[in-house]
Amino acid sequence: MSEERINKLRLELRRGVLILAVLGATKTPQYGYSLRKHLNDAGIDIDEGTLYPLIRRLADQALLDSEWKHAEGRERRYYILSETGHEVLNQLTLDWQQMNNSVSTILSSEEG
Amino acid sequence: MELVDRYIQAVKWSLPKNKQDEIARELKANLLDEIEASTQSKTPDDKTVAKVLESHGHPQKVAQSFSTQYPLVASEDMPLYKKVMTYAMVVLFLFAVVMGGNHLIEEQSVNAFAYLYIVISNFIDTAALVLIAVTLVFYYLGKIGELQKWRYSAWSPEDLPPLHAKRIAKSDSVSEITSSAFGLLILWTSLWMSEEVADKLILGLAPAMEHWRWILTIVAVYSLLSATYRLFKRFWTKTSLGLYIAEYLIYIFGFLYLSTLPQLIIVTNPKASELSPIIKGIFTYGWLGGAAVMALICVSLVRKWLKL
Repeated sequence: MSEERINKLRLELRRGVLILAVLGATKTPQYGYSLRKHLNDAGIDIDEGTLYPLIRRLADQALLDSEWKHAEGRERRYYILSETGHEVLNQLTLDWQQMNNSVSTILSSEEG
Repeated sequence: MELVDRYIQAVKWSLPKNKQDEIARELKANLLDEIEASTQSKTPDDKTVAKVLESHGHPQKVAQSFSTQYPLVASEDMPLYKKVMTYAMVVLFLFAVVMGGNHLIEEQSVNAFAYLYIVISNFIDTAALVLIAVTLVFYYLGKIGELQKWRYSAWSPEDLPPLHAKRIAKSDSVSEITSSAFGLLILWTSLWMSEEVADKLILGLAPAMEHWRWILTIVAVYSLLSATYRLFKRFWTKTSLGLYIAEYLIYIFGFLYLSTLPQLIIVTNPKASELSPIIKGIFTYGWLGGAAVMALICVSLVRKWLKL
């Protein structure tokens, strides 16, 4: 299989966990670039074209609260998990753990 | 940084008005952070800035990622959309063929190119309007969530076709519907054709055979309805195929009977009276030829029926 096709499958695999990763990373206040760096440092490589619209969508869905802050002569929009976001994150974390266990079981049984 | 401001402006132009300022403000903040992180210098040069902007992507692409676009027709509605458009185009094409024929009769012309031109231009005119109308209807109904119930017809496992059922080709049903509809139009020109054009028709039913108009209408209507039924129930059962074979037997015996009668179709226009012997000859052998063709089709249908 070509590298391009594998990358497309990788993208599909990552798409589902990106929301969980972003919600998890915004337990502490983050602005766009800091969130991207935080995710990159944790091993989740995400481009700005994907991340910035995603955090806006999560904010529109009331999963993140935001406010503009001025520091170092510039303004930045900081995001933090809302109350609803906390509930959703807890539920998604449980779902993720269950799925992770199930997939690990399948993969280890396939290996025999 | 002029380049950044120009980039933001380009993105803004592709955003909905109510979101422009808000998204532009945040985008600028993010871009300045990206630029600062990509260089150690407090005043980055245009080359560095341009590189960051390029990696961010085309302004229109960035704008699209921030505003959710609702497609004209959602992907899950495409099969239904295609089905509706296909049926609409078939009906419109038939309409264009009939109108083209009407025009030729009116002009007393047998110019094939003129006929083709009229058919194609009529079809394109009406098809374009129908395409717009159907797409708008799908867009509106899709947006308010009313298309879901139309995507798939009601079903139950018990109603599914039997195993190894023979499928009926959609094109067969469509061509039967088309020819039945065409036959009805020809039989009842008095209902839709102007007197002026009708007077120019060359052929018509013989006065003594007027009652055949009703007989042929009943046959055409039955054929139209049964073909329409087969368009939705697209597999043969012993009953449906048996009825279809009975239909063909009626055609065969009907054609044979008509070949024994005085002429059914005659030249009605005095200006074309020299065609009378030719028309008589065509229809005398035409009924027999038609019966023979129908008989051959009937034989293959019976074979199919026996295998069911």
